[in-house]
Amino acid sequence: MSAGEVLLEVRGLHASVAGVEILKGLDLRLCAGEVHAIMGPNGSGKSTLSKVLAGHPSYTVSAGEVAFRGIDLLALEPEERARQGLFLGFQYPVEIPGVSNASFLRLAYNTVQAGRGGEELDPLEFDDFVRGRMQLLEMDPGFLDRDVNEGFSGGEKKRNEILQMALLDPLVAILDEADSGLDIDALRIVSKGISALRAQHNAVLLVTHYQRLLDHVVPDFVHVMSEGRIIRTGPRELALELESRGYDWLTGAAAA
Amino acid sequence: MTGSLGRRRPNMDTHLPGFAQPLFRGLPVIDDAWAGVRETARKQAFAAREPGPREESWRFTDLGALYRGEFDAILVPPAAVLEVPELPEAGHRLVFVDGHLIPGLSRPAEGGGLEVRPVSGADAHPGDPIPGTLVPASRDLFAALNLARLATAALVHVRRGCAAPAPVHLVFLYSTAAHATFPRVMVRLEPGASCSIVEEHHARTGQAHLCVPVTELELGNGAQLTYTRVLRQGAGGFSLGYCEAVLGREAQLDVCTVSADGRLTRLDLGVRFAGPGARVGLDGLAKVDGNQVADTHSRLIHGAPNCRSRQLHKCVAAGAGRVVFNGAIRVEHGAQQTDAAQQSRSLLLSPRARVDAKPQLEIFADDVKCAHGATVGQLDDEQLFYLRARGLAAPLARELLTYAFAAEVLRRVPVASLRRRLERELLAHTPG
Ligand SMILES: Nc1ncnc2c1ncn2[C@@H]1O[C@H](COP(=O)(O)OP(=O)(O)OP(=O)(O)O)[C@@H](O)[C@H]1O
Ligand SMILES: [Mg+2]
Repeated sequence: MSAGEVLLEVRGLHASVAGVEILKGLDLRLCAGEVHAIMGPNGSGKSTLSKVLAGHPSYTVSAGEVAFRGIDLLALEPEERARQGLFLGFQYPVEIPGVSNASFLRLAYNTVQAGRGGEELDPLEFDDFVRGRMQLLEMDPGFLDRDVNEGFSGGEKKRNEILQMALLDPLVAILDEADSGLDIDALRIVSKGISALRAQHNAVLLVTHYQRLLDHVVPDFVHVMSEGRIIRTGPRELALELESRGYDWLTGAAAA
Repeated sequence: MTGSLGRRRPNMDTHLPGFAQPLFRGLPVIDDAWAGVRETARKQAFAAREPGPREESWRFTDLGALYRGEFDAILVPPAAVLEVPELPEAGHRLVFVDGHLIPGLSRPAEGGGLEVRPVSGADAHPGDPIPGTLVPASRDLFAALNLARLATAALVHVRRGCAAPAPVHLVFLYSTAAHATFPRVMVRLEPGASCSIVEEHHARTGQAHLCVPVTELELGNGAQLTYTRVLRQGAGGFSLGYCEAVLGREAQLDVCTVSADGRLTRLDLGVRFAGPGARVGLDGLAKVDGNQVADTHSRLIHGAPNCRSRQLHKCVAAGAGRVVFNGAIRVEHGAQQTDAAQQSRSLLLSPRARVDAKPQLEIFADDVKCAHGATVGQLDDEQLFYLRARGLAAPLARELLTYAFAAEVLRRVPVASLRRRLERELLAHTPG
């Protein structure tokens, strides 16, 4: 396949949280049209990478650079990154009691639309629009009236993340364990949502522990992360190999 | 302060703090049914000491700025036409401006199952509540001043078994600088009666003024009352308010109080369960900014068995604002099977803001459930990041989370148009 425009380029990224260095020289390049998967042991820094890319203020970048469509991503505030087309699906979506899901989704949609010069929707128009998207994700419209993620089950929260992704239509979607805690049907639906986003002009980065998501959303590349670095990159078959062999053979090699 | 030491009370009946002295200059003596109440209260006011920091209940709220002011009474209603906060759902309404009833803006109800009318010593009916029954002059200086300067009160009386068909709206507007007003609301619900009352206080001036609003609520057996109290006393307003309720057997009371932007807002809220099986819900929201102070002292007395109380008090403090909450719950001997729950949560939006929140439990019965909790916190960083990661600018995200914090109380405001108005006014960015 011919590589599209470079959407995201990470070079030599070092980042720490609470004085502890987690990312230790990470390189990654996502081009338009590609799906990448990142796998790796617990604590290897996958969520840290996701949050650093999205601009979480608790993380400090000490070295390296990140270009998003050629611009310096690290210089942008989190909201600016989102408006430029970066989306992070959270491993642990946050509950916000007191804010209805409907108003939150509309606020997010209109803000991101305004950022890219698109049309904003009033509550009625948005309601039609969001219900359409929810139907595709087989989500009960009742979730609109509830507060953001409050009391949602693990799987419902993940579906709500995919719904947000579908509404915001990002250029780069980073999905941190979009598949964890999903039942079989939900996994199929979430996969369908990701596949529906997939297009020639955008890229998806899937953080996952399991092959099963990758059966539905077939990646172009699989990266293995360990101790804050990508230690191996391979084709989709690498994921199958990891499933049967675990990480020891790779992390051992990295240590050697 | 007068500089006296210890708890000695000034021993002269001519003592009255300077701020209140203009109130009794040239005051006409009117001989009506309430003359005795006023005169006793006047004596009490002259004998009472100024509440100050040495008293536990005033420890955190400094009245110095109030005491340095001088406040006069407005003897004739001002001619200015003021905007009245509308409540489309409301039926009967009384509007007061600077303490005077404005008949042209009011819609009283007389006779029948529901009475909503102004009442004074000159026209009180024999069966009307006596002012001061629940908040007597002996309580403190401000309660005494209210009764001593008592003119026209607002009365809501619902007869046995009757239900008020629409919310009753009591509106108090303040338009004149350096004046003092002493509103009094008297509510009597006979057994089995039900009613929803919205009491609002709005300053239409940013200048210094003093308001001492007193509300007395009597709920007979099985009566049901929803009482919503809104205080917007303005940048210069001192509000020292009292609300006392007494509940008969199996009565139900839901109180929702919202205060914002007064220079100093104090509410002493008391509820007494006088019969078994009654229930009360108290929800409060206090919001301060700049140098404002909001102080809520609540006191729930479980004086009968099998009663349930639930209380949620929320404070939002920005700037160098200060909030005080003191929530007393007293379970008297014999009030078995009491179920009381109290929560206070405060949100500090600035490092200069301050909160003093304290539960105070006094339990003299043994078969009792009494839960309480107090939290003080800031906006949650993870929530903030989540919103920003969805494109919301940081200031908007903060406002939205502040809104979310307050929403828990605002959602309990029982009248939809009022709820929407408060959301709009108190929170700049209300998601639509
Ligand atoms: N605030 C913090 N202070 C200290 N260490 C932290 C902090 N936050 C994260 N870490 C550490 O950073 C490391 C990487 O965490 P991260 O969440 O990125 O791992 P992960 O690869 O996503 O793991 P998992 O597969 O379990 O989700 C972990 O060892 C974690 O304990
Ligand atoms: Mg993780």
